[in-house]
Amino acid sequence: MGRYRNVSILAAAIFFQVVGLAVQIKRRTEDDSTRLIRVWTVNAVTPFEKGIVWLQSGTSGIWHNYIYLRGVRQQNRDLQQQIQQMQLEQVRLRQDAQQARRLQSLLGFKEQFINKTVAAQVIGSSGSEQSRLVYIDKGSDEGIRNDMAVITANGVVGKVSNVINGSTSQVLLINDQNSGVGTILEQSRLQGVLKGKASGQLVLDKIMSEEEVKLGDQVLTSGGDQIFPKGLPVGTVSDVHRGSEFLQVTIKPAAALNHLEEVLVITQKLEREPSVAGSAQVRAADILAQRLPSVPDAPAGSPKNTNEAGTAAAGAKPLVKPAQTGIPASGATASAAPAKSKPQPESEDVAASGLANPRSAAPQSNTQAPPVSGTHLVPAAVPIKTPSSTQVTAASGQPKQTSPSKTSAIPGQSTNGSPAKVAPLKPPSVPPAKPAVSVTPPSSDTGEPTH
Amino acid sequence: MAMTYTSREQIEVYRFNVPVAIGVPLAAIFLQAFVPLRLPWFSIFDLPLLVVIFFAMARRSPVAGLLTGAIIGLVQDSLTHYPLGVYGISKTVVGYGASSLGVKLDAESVPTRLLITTGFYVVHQVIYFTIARGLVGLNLHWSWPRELLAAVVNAILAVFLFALMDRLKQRA
Repeated sequence: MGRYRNVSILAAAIFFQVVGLAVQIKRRTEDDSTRLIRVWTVNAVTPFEKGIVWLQSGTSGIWHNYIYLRGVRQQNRDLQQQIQQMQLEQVRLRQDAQQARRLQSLLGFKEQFINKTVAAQVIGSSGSEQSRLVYIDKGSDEGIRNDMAVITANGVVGKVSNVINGSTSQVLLINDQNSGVGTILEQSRLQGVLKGKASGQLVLDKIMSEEEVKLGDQVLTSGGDQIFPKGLPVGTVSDVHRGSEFLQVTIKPAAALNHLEEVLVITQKLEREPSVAGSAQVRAADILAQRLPSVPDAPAGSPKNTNEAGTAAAGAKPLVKPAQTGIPASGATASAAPAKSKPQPESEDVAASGLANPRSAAPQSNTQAPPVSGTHLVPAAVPIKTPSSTQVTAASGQPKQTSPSKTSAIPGQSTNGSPAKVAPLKPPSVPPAKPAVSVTPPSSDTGEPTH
Repeated sequence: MAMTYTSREQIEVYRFNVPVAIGVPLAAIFLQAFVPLRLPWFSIFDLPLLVVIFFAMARRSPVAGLLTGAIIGLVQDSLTHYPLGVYGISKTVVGYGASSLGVKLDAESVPTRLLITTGFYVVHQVIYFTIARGLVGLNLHWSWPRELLAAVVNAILAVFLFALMDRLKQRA
């Protein structure tokens, strides 16, 4: 017996571990709690990792913040310039976002907002190439819980797979075999599940092989997995292979998964309908007026310009619900209207529909005034033909009657390239409509408005 | 080739004091978990495996070797999100094998260490892949060129590491 002692002990050691493995594999789906040995090991290892990270960040902080400040002045100037440019850009984007929210509100969409994040430092990894996870220095004390999304400024990193203790959590990276992220391709709007491979590559699953996927297309979170908020960047398409049934789409991750240092844990998400102040009472003309350049005050004696045209528009119920028209929210972007327009009782329909496009609104006055100059906004409200021969502009959601002969394919432009003329809005028996909107673009020479 | 068989009388059995026996494996596991964050290529090394081989060959006791392998492997397992025991079983076998071989071979010479480490790395990976695929159900791909390269790289590191750790040995 003594002869086989060592082999017997080896067999026993392997046997117990195999049994232990089998028990764990069986229990995995039922009990997701952290095992004590994991807690002990992580508790033994992470203090060293935290200590080194603390020392490292402290040293580099002293170096970068106090000693090595060469070129900071120039960099500061550059950054300030950049900020100014970005502020201008931000104004434009804010307007776009506001309008998008209004439209989403009108369409009853729900939005997800990242309400609260916790910044965390990556302090360790699994040390195994097959287990792609990292440890962060934030845990239950900071409100971290399982299945919270983890991101960086560049894109999605993974999700919290295990909260080890009050100050340590385990994050499963998106390139691990066990992870899955609901994604959508930005251009083609195809949805798929992003998974990791054993090699650490990211692949997009479940896209039929007949679909067209372009290289370089951005991959965003779709929000379908209930973990990641919609619209976060995940990566870009780097390779596409056509399989028999599904495409094999390889994705280059947006976040540097191999060089993670700081991450953000999304601890709170909000889901609500987009709230725009007074959006329920917002008038189409008001929305559009915000997007127009200011028009010089009319000279004395001229009719007073107001925004009342929009009041009527708001009162008018849309005949075709926007949701039924299938108008994409993104298609209903900027459309310009005069900031100050001449109110006319007959202008209700125009305000509700034609105003969505200043080029179609302007000729309504029959003055053949040129398009509003100075605006940088491109009308993008696309008229949708409905079965009842009405058109709905995405911006207003209001139907309007049009004269086919005078409406071009390009919204707001007639076939000869001049501003489109809008057909009479009332039946022929009704007296001809007065100019609904009087656009008074400033004269380039004198600055005097023309009528 | 400096690999020589040694008689029982020639065998030197070593032991390690407690701080070394605990501190060195922990340091290896810590470095394995921490360094790849800064240097991703470092993950090709398996420091805990090298430590298991070194301790097993120095102690020359199969039971001590397999227990060392089992404990280090299980600790390494607990840093992953896979079931405990995948690394544990692999390193148990390696610990047992290394200590058994250490009884018969001159484990002090550089070529022996190179060959033993290369061989045990491959054995370790074969066992790991078998368990990971067969029991745990991981979808891993075996690549001979990659595994052989990693084995050689680990063996080269082992030569230097073992030379350093030789200083921590104490004659039993």
